[in-house]
Amino acid sequence: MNDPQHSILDTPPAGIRSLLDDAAAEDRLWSPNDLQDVFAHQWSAPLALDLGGLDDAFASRVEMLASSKHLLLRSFGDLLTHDRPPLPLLKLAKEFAKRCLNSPHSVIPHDVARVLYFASIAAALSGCQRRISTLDDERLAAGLRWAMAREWLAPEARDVLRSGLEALGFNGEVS
Amino acid sequence: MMPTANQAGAGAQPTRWSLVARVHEGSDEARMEALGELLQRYLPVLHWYLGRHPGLDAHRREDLVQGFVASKILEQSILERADRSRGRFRTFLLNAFQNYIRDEVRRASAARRTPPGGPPLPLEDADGAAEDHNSLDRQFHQAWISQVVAMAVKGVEEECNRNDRADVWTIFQRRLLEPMLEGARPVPYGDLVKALKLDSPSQAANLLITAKRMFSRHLHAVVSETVSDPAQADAELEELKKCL
Repeated sequence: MNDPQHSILDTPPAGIRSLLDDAAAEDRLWSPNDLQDVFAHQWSAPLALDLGGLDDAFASRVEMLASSKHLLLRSFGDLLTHDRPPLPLLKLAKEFAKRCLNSPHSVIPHDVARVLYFASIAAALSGCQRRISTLDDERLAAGLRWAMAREWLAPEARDVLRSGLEALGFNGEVS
Repeated sequence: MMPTANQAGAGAQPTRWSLVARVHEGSDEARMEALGELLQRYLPVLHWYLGRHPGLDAHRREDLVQGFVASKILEQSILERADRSRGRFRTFLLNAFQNYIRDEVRRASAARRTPPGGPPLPLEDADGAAEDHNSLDRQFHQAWISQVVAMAVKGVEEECNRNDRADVWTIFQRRLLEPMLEGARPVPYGDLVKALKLDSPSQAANLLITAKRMFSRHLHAVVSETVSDPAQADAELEELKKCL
Protein backbone atom coordinates (compact mmCIF):
# COMPACT_ATOMS: atom_id res chain seq x y z
CA MET A 1 0.00 0.00 0.00
CA ASN A 2 2.16 2.86 -1.28
CA ASP A 3 -0.43 5.59 -1.07
CA PRO A 4 -3.29 4.68 1.26
CA GLN A 5 -5.06 8.01 0.78
CA HIS A 6 -5.58 7.47 -2.93
CA SER A 7 -6.73 3.88 -2.71
CA ILE A 8 -9.17 4.36 0.15
CA LEU A 9 -11.65 6.35 -1.94
CA ASP A 10 -12.04 3.38 -4.27
CA THR A 11 -12.30 0.83 -1.49
CA PRO A 12 -15.70 -0.93 -1.35
CA PRO A 13 -17.89 0.39 1.49
CA ALA A 14 -17.69 -2.95 3.27
CA GLY A 15 -13.91 -2.55 3.57
CA ILE A 16 -14.26 0.90 5.10
CA ARG A 17 -16.89 -0.44 7.46
CA SER A 18 -14.60 -3.30 8.54
CA LEU A 19 -11.75 -0.90 9.14
CA LEU A 20 -13.88 1.37 11.30
CA ASP A 21 -15.38 -1.50 13.27
CA ASP A 22 -12.08 -3.24 13.83
CA ALA A 23 -10.25 -0.05 14.71
CA ALA A 24 -12.89 0.67 17.35
CA ALA A 25 -12.43 -2.77 18.88
CA GLU A 26 -9.56 -2.82 21.30
CA ASP A 27 -9.71 -6.50 22.00
CA ARG A 28 -7.06 -8.52 20.29
CA LEU A 29 -8.30 -10.79 17.62
CA TRP A 30 -5.75 -13.56 17.59
CA SER A 31 -5.58 -15.88 14.65
CA PRO A 32 -4.24 -19.43 15.17
CA ASN A 33 -0.95 -18.31 13.63
CA ASP A 34 -0.77 -15.42 16.10
CA LEU A 35 -1.44 -17.76 19.02
CA GLN A 36 1.21 -20.15 17.74
CA ASP A 37 3.71 -17.28 17.66
CA VAL A 38 2.76 -16.04 21.12
CA PHE A 39 2.85 -19.52 22.60
CA ALA A 40 6.24 -20.26 21.05
CA HIS A 41 7.53 -17.01 22.46
CA GLN A 42 6.13 -17.72 25.92
CA TRP A 43 7.42 -21.30 25.86
CA SER A 44 10.95 -20.00 25.42
CA ALA A 45 10.51 -16.89 27.60
CA PRO A 46 12.91 -16.55 30.57
CA LEU A 47 11.30 -17.85 33.71
CA ALA A 48 12.96 -15.24 35.89
CA LEU A 49 11.40 -12.42 33.91
CA ASP A 50 7.77 -13.54 34.15
CA LEU A 51 7.71 -15.48 37.38
CA GLY A 52 10.02 -13.11 39.19
CA GLY A 53 7.65 -10.33 38.23
CA LEU A 54 4.82 -11.83 40.21
CA ASP A 55 6.23 -10.49 43.43
CA ASP A 56 9.56 -8.95 44.43
CA ALA A 57 10.09 -11.66 46.97
CA PHE A 58 9.68 -14.32 44.30
CA ALA A 59 12.45 -13.01 42.09
CA SER A 60 15.37 -14.35 44.07
CA ARG A 61 13.50 -17.56 44.88
CA VAL A 62 12.80 -18.21 41.21
CA GLU A 63 16.42 -17.63 40.37
CA MET A 64 17.55 -19.98 43.09
CA LEU A 65 15.09 -22.71 42.15
CA ALA A 66 15.76 -22.43 38.46
CA SER A 67 19.50 -22.76 38.85
CA SER A 68 19.58 -25.25 41.71
CA LYS A 69 21.01 -28.70 41.19
CA HIS A 70 22.33 -27.56 37.84
CA LEU A 71 18.82 -27.65 36.42
CA LEU A 72 19.37 -24.46 34.42
CA LEU A 73 15.71 -23.94 33.82
CA ARG A 74 15.88 -20.94 31.60
CA SER A 75 12.41 -21.03 30.14
CA PHE A 76 8.86 -22.27 30.61
CA GLY A 77 9.64 -24.99 28.09
CA ASP A 78 12.69 -26.09 30.10
CA LEU A 79 10.60 -26.25 33.26
CA LEU A 80 7.55 -27.99 31.86
CA THR A 81 9.45 -30.65 29.92
CA HIS A 82 11.99 -31.42 32.64
CA ASP A 83 11.99 -35.00 34.00
CA ARG A 84 11.91 -33.83 37.61
CA PRO A 85 10.83 -30.19 37.68
CA PRO A 86 10.95 -28.28 40.99
CA LEU A 87 7.42 -28.26 42.36
CA PRO A 88 7.63 -24.71 43.74
CA LEU A 89 8.48 -23.42 40.29
CA LEU A 90 5.55 -25.27 38.76
CA LYS A 91 3.29 -23.66 41.36
CA LEU A 92 4.69 -20.26 40.44
CA ALA A 93 4.17 -20.98 36.74
CA LYS A 94 0.57 -21.97 37.45
CA GLU A 95 0.09 -18.81 39.52
CA PHE A 96 1.54 -16.68 36.73
CA ALA A 97 -0.84 -18.23 34.18
CA LYS A 98 -3.78 -17.80 36.55
CA ARG A 99 -3.02 -14.12 37.03
CA CYS A 100 -2.82 -13.66 33.27
CA LEU A 101 -6.20 -15.35 32.95
CA ASN A 102 -7.77 -13.08 35.54
CA SER A 103 -6.29 -9.84 34.27
CA PRO A 104 -8.01 -7.85 31.51
CA HIS A 105 -4.64 -6.20 30.87
CA SER A 106 -2.71 -9.42 30.49
CA VAL A 107 0.01 -9.29 27.89
CA ILE A 108 -0.67 -12.94 27.06
CA PRO A 109 -3.82 -14.06 25.23
CA HIS A 110 -6.13 -15.92 27.56
CA ASP A 111 -6.00 -19.15 25.56
CA VAL A 112 -2.21 -19.22 25.80
CA ALA A 113 -2.35 -18.52 29.54
CA ARG A 114 -4.93 -21.29 29.98
CA VAL A 115 -2.68 -23.79 28.23
CA LEU A 116 0.27 -22.79 30.44
CA TYR A 117 -1.99 -23.17 33.46
CA PHE A 118 -2.94 -26.75 32.60
CA ALA A 119 0.56 -27.60 31.41
CA SER A 120 1.95 -26.58 34.82
CA ILE A 121 -0.56 -28.85 36.54
CA ALA A 122 0.19 -31.67 34.11
CA ALA A 123 3.95 -31.36 34.66
CA ALA A 124 3.42 -31.58 38.43
CA LEU A 125 1.26 -34.67 38.00
CA SER A 126 3.63 -36.52 35.73
CA GLY A 127 7.03 -35.17 36.87
CA CYS A 128 6.45 -34.83 40.60
CA GLN A 129 3.46 -37.13 41.13
CA ARG A 130 1.85 -34.23 42.94
CA ARG A 131 -1.42 -32.38 42.40
CA ILE A 132 -1.18 -28.59 42.50
CA SER A 133 -4.81 -27.98 41.58
CA THR A 134 -8.04 -28.27 43.53
CA LEU A 135 -9.96 -29.30 40.41
CA ASP A 136 -11.38 -32.82 40.54
CA ASP A 137 -10.15 -35.44 38.08
CA GLU A 138 -12.97 -35.00 35.58
CA ARG A 139 -12.65 -31.23 35.39
CA LEU A 140 -8.90 -31.45 35.25
CA ALA A 141 -9.05 -33.99 32.44
CA ALA A 142 -11.50 -31.79 30.56
CA GLY A 143 -9.12 -28.84 30.87
CA LEU A 144 -6.13 -30.89 29.73
CA ARG A 145 -8.06 -32.21 26.74
CA TRP A 146 -9.20 -28.69 25.86
CA ALA A 147 -5.58 -27.52 25.92
CA MET A 148 -4.39 -30.49 23.86
CA ALA A 149 -6.98 -29.72 21.21
CA ARG A 150 -5.54 -26.24 20.46
CA GLU A 151 -4.45 -26.43 16.85
CA TRP A 152 -1.63 -23.95 17.40
CA LEU A 153 -0.07 -25.96 20.23
CA ALA A 154 3.58 -27.05 19.94
CA PRO A 155 4.07 -30.87 19.97
CA GLU A 156 6.26 -30.79 23.08
CA ALA A 157 3.57 -28.92 24.99
CA ARG A 158 0.96 -31.43 23.85
CA ASP A 159 3.21 -34.22 25.17
CA VAL A 160 3.31 -32.55 28.59
CA LEU A 161 -0.47 -32.32 28.68
CA ARG A 162 -0.85 -35.93 27.52
CA SER A 163 1.49 -37.13 30.28
CA GLY A 164 -0.63 -35.29 32.82
CA LEU A 165 -3.79 -36.86 31.49
CA GLU A 166 -2.24 -40.32 31.67
CA ALA A 167 -0.99 -39.67 35.19
CA LEU A 168 -4.61 -39.07 36.14
CA GLY A 169 -5.48 -42.47 34.70
CA PHE A 170 -7.18 -41.20 31.56
CA ASN A 171 -6.50 -42.12 27.99
CA GLY A 172 -4.01 -39.59 26.62
CA GLU A 173 -5.91 -38.99 23.42
CA VAL A 174 -8.19 -36.06 22.72
CA SER A 175 -11.67 -37.48 22.23
CA MET B 1 -0.44 20.93 6.55
CA MET B 2 -2.57 18.49 8.44
CA PRO B 3 -3.58 19.85 11.83
CA THR B 4 -2.60 17.84 14.83
CA ALA B 5 -5.26 16.14 16.86
CA ASN B 6 -4.93 18.76 19.56
CA GLN B 7 -5.30 21.59 17.12
CA ALA B 8 -8.30 20.09 15.48
CA GLY B 9 -10.14 18.20 18.14
CA ALA B 10 -10.12 17.81 21.88
CA GLY B 11 -9.15 20.92 23.78
CA ALA B 12 -10.07 23.35 21.03
CA GLN B 13 -12.68 26.04 21.53
CA PRO B 14 -16.11 24.93 20.31
CA THR B 15 -16.30 26.03 16.71
CA ARG B 16 -18.69 25.59 13.88
CA TRP B 17 -17.24 23.76 10.95
CA SER B 18 -13.87 24.79 12.25
CA LEU B 19 -12.18 23.79 9.03
CA VAL B 20 -14.43 26.15 7.10
CA ALA B 21 -14.14 28.85 9.73
CA ARG B 22 -10.40 29.04 9.20
CA VAL B 23 -11.02 29.98 5.59
CA HIS B 24 -12.53 33.26 6.82
CA GLU B 25 -10.19 34.08 9.66
CA GLY B 26 -6.70 35.55 9.99
CA SER B 27 -4.39 36.92 7.35
CA ASP B 28 -4.89 36.50 3.63
CA GLU B 29 -2.08 33.98 3.60
CA ALA B 30 -3.63 31.96 6.41
CA ARG B 31 -7.02 32.06 4.73
CA MET B 32 -5.63 30.91 1.41
CA GLU B 33 -3.76 28.12 3.12
CA ALA B 34 -6.94 27.02 4.90
CA LEU B 35 -8.90 27.15 1.66
CA GLY B 36 -6.22 25.14 -0.11
CA GLU B 37 -6.38 22.54 2.63
CA LEU B 38 -10.14 22.37 2.51
CA LEU B 39 -10.17 21.94 -1.26
CA GLN B 40 -7.39 19.37 -1.16
CA ARG B 41 -9.43 17.38 1.30
CA TYR B 42 -12.84 17.44 -0.28
CA LEU B 43 -12.39 18.01 -4.01
CA PRO B 44 -11.57 14.29 -4.44
CA VAL B 45 -15.08 13.53 -3.16
CA LEU B 46 -16.65 15.89 -5.71
CA HIS B 47 -14.57 14.37 -8.51
CA TRP B 48 -15.52 10.89 -7.37
CA TYR B 49 -19.21 11.90 -7.22
CA LEU B 50 -19.21 13.29 -10.74
CA GLY B 51 -17.44 10.19 -11.94
CA ARG B 52 -20.56 8.23 -11.09
CA HIS B 53 -22.70 10.31 -13.45
CA PRO B 54 -23.09 8.89 -16.92
CA GLY B 55 -22.45 11.17 -19.84
CA LEU B 56 -19.79 13.34 -18.27
CA ASP B 57 -16.32 12.83 -19.64
CA ALA B 58 -13.19 13.58 -17.64
CA HIS B 59 -12.73 17.06 -19.13
CA ARG B 60 -16.32 18.02 -18.43
CA ARG B 61 -16.04 16.76 -14.86
CA GLU B 62 -12.86 18.73 -14.31
CA ASP B 63 -14.50 21.86 -15.76
CA LEU B 64 -17.51 21.46 -13.48
CA VAL B 65 -15.45 21.00 -10.32
CA GLN B 66 -13.15 23.91 -11.14
CA GLY B 67 -16.15 26.02 -12.10
CA PHE B 68 -17.80 25.25 -8.78
CA VAL B 69 -14.69 26.30 -6.89
CA ALA B 70 -14.21 29.50 -8.90
CA SER B 71 -17.84 30.57 -9.09
CA LYS B 72 -19.39 29.42 -5.86
CA ILE B 73 -16.57 29.14 -3.36
CA LEU B 74 -14.28 31.97 -4.46
CA GLU B 75 -16.60 34.49 -6.15
CA GLN B 76 -19.85 33.99 -4.29
CA SER B 77 -18.23 32.92 -1.03
CA ILE B 78 -20.93 30.40 -0.27
CA LEU B 79 -18.91 29.05 2.63
CA GLU B 80 -19.04 32.44 4.29
CA ARG B 81 -22.77 32.81 3.82
CA ALA B 82 -23.67 29.32 4.96
CA ASP B 83 -25.53 28.93 8.22
CA ARG B 84 -22.96 26.81 9.94
CA SER B 85 -24.99 26.47 13.11
CA ARG B 86 -27.32 24.11 11.34
CA GLY B 87 -26.61 20.85 9.64
CA ARG B 88 -23.51 19.18 8.46
CA PHE B 89 -20.82 20.48 6.19
CA ARG B 90 -21.07 17.48 3.90
CA THR B 91 -24.81 18.01 3.35
CA PHE B 92 -24.24 21.67 2.67
CA LEU B 93 -21.47 20.93 0.18
CA LEU B 94 -23.48 18.24 -1.59
CA ASN B 95 -26.53 20.47 -1.96
CA ALA B 96 -24.48 23.41 -3.20
CA PHE B 97 -22.60 21.23 -5.66
CA GLN B 98 -25.77 19.57 -6.95
CA ASN B 99 -27.43 22.94 -7.46
CA TYR B 100 -24.42 24.21 -9.34
CA ILE B 101 -24.25 21.12 -11.58
CA ARG B 102 -27.97 21.30 -12.28
CA ASP B 103 -27.71 24.95 -13.28
CA GLU B 104 -24.70 24.29 -15.44
CA VAL B 105 -26.32 21.38 -17.25
CA ARG B 106 -29.44 23.42 -17.90
CA ARG B 107 -27.38 26.32 -19.14
CA ALA B 108 -25.48 24.06 -21.47
CA SER B 109 -28.69 22.53 -22.77
CA ALA B 110 -30.22 25.93 -23.39
CA ALA B 111 -27.09 27.05 -25.21
CA ARG B 112 -27.44 24.10 -27.57
CA ARG B 113 -31.01 25.32 -28.31
CA THR B 114 -32.46 22.00 -27.42
CA PRO B 115 -36.25 21.68 -27.54
CA PRO B 116 -38.17 21.71 -24.25
CA GLY B 117 -37.65 18.45 -22.47
CA GLY B 118 -34.58 17.85 -24.64
CA PRO B 119 -31.84 15.31 -24.02
CA PRO B 120 -31.75 13.54 -20.67
CA LEU B 121 -29.89 15.49 -18.07
CA PRO B 122 -27.23 13.56 -16.29
CA LEU B 123 -28.55 14.43 -12.89
CA GLU B 124 -32.28 14.21 -12.99
CA ASP B 125 -34.63 13.93 -15.94
CA ALA B 126 -34.36 10.23 -16.68
CA ASP B 127 -36.89 7.63 -15.56
CA GLY B 128 -36.25 6.50 -12.05
CA ALA B 129 -34.50 9.76 -11.41
CA ALA B 130 -35.45 9.85 -7.76
CA GLU B 131 -34.03 6.42 -7.16
CA ASP B 132 -30.84 7.27 -9.05
CA HIS B 133 -30.63 10.52 -7.18
CA ASN B 134 -30.88 8.81 -3.81
CA SER B 135 -28.33 6.24 -4.86
CA LEU B 136 -25.94 8.97 -5.95
CA ASP B 137 -26.45 10.86 -2.71
CA ARG B 138 -25.68 7.71 -0.80
CA GLN B 139 -22.55 7.18 -2.85
CA PHE B 140 -21.52 10.76 -2.15
CA HIS B 141 -21.78 10.15 1.57
CA GLN B 142 -19.88 6.86 1.17
CA ALA B 143 -17.14 8.71 -0.67
CA TRP B 144 -17.19 11.33 2.05
CA ILE B 145 -16.54 8.88 4.85
CA SER B 146 -13.89 7.18 2.74
CA GLN B 147 -12.16 10.52 2.40
CA VAL B 148 -12.52 11.14 6.14
CA VAL B 149 -10.91 7.76 6.78
CA ALA B 150 -8.14 8.59 4.30
CA MET B 151 -7.42 11.82 6.15
CA ALA B 152 -7.35 10.04 9.50
CA VAL B 153 -4.95 7.46 8.07
CA LYS B 154 -2.79 10.28 6.77
CA GLY B 155 -2.85 11.80 10.25
CA VAL B 156 -1.64 8.54 11.76
CA GLU B 157 1.14 8.28 9.21
CA GLU B 158 2.28 11.84 9.82
CA GLU B 159 2.18 11.44 13.59
CA CYS B 160 4.21 8.24 13.34
CA ASN B 161 6.77 9.95 11.10
CA ARG B 162 6.95 12.95 13.40
CA ASN B 163 7.54 10.79 16.46
CA ASP B 164 9.81 8.24 14.78
CA ARG B 165 7.29 5.44 15.31
CA ALA B 166 7.75 3.42 12.16
CA ASP B 167 6.89 0.34 14.23
CA VAL B 168 3.38 1.61 14.99
CA TRP B 169 2.75 2.64 11.38
CA THR B 170 4.05 -0.65 9.97
CA ILE B 171 1.87 -2.73 12.26
CA PHE B 172 -1.13 -0.51 11.52
CA GLN B 173 -0.58 -1.05 7.80
CA ARG B 174 0.16 -4.76 7.87
CA ARG B 175 -2.38 -5.83 10.46
CA LEU B 176 -5.29 -3.48 9.80
CA LEU B 177 -5.15 -1.25 6.72
CA GLU B 178 -4.06 -3.74 4.10
CA PRO B 179 -6.26 -6.61 5.33
CA MET B 180 -9.34 -4.41 5.63
CA LEU B 181 -8.91 -2.27 2.54
CA GLU B 182 -7.18 -4.62 0.15
CA GLY B 183 -8.19 -8.03 1.43
CA ALA B 184 -4.55 -8.86 2.16
CA ARG B 185 -3.66 -11.57 4.64
CA PRO B 186 -2.66 -10.05 7.99
CA VAL B 187 1.08 -10.43 8.45
CA PRO B 188 1.66 -12.86 11.35
CA TYR B 189 2.84 -11.24 14.54
CA GLY B 190 5.87 -13.52 14.51
CA ASP B 191 7.01 -12.01 11.20
CA LEU B 192 6.46 -8.50 12.51
CA VAL B 193 8.43 -9.26 15.66
CA LYS B 194 11.39 -10.27 13.51
CA ALA B 195 11.06 -7.44 11.03
CA LEU B 196 10.70 -4.74 13.68
CA LYS B 197 13.04 -6.38 16.21
CA LEU B 198 10.36 -6.46 18.90
CA ASP B 199 10.53 -8.45 22.11
CA SER B 200 7.39 -10.52 21.64
CA PRO B 201 4.15 -10.96 19.68
CA SER B 202 2.35 -9.44 22.66
CA GLN B 203 4.39 -6.28 22.18
CA ALA B 204 3.35 -6.25 18.54
CA ALA B 205 -0.30 -6.60 19.58
CA ASN B 206 0.09 -3.72 22.02
CA LEU B 207 1.52 -1.56 19.24
CA LEU B 208 -1.55 -2.31 17.15
CA ILE B 209 -3.75 -1.11 19.99
CA THR B 210 -1.66 2.07 20.14
CA ALA B 211 -2.19 2.53 16.40
CA LYS B 212 -5.93 1.96 16.71
CA ARG B 213 -6.20 4.59 19.42
CA MET B 214 -4.17 6.99 17.31
CA PHE B 215 -6.45 6.35 14.33
CA SER B 216 -9.60 6.85 16.40
CA ARG B 217 -8.24 10.14 17.72
CA HIS B 218 -7.48 11.42 14.23
CA LEU B 219 -10.82 10.19 12.93
CA HIS B 220 -12.63 12.07 15.66
CA ALA B 221 -10.59 15.20 14.99
CA VAL B 222 -11.34 15.16 11.26
CA VAL B 223 -15.05 14.61 11.77
CA SER B 224 -15.17 17.29 14.48
CA GLU B 225 -14.12 19.89 11.95
CA THR B 226 -17.16 19.30 9.79
CA VAL B 227 -19.99 19.44 12.33
CA SER B 228 -21.52 22.43 14.02
CA ASP B 229 -20.33 21.28 17.43
CA PRO B 230 -17.40 18.94 18.15
CA ALA B 231 -19.66 17.10 20.59
CA GLN B 232 -21.64 15.91 17.57
CA ALA B 233 -18.66 14.13 16.07
CA ASP B 234 -19.57 10.70 17.42
CA ALA B 235 -23.14 11.01 16.17
CA GLU B 236 -21.89 12.19 12.78
CA LEU B 237 -19.56 9.23 12.55
CA GLU B 238 -22.37 6.82 13.38
CA GLU B 239 -24.55 8.51 10.76
CA LEU B 240 -21.81 8.15 8.16
CA LYS B 241 -21.32 4.48 8.99
CA LYS B 242 -24.98 3.87 8.18
CA CYS B 243 -24.18 4.83 4.60
CA LEU B 244 -21.69 2.00 4.29
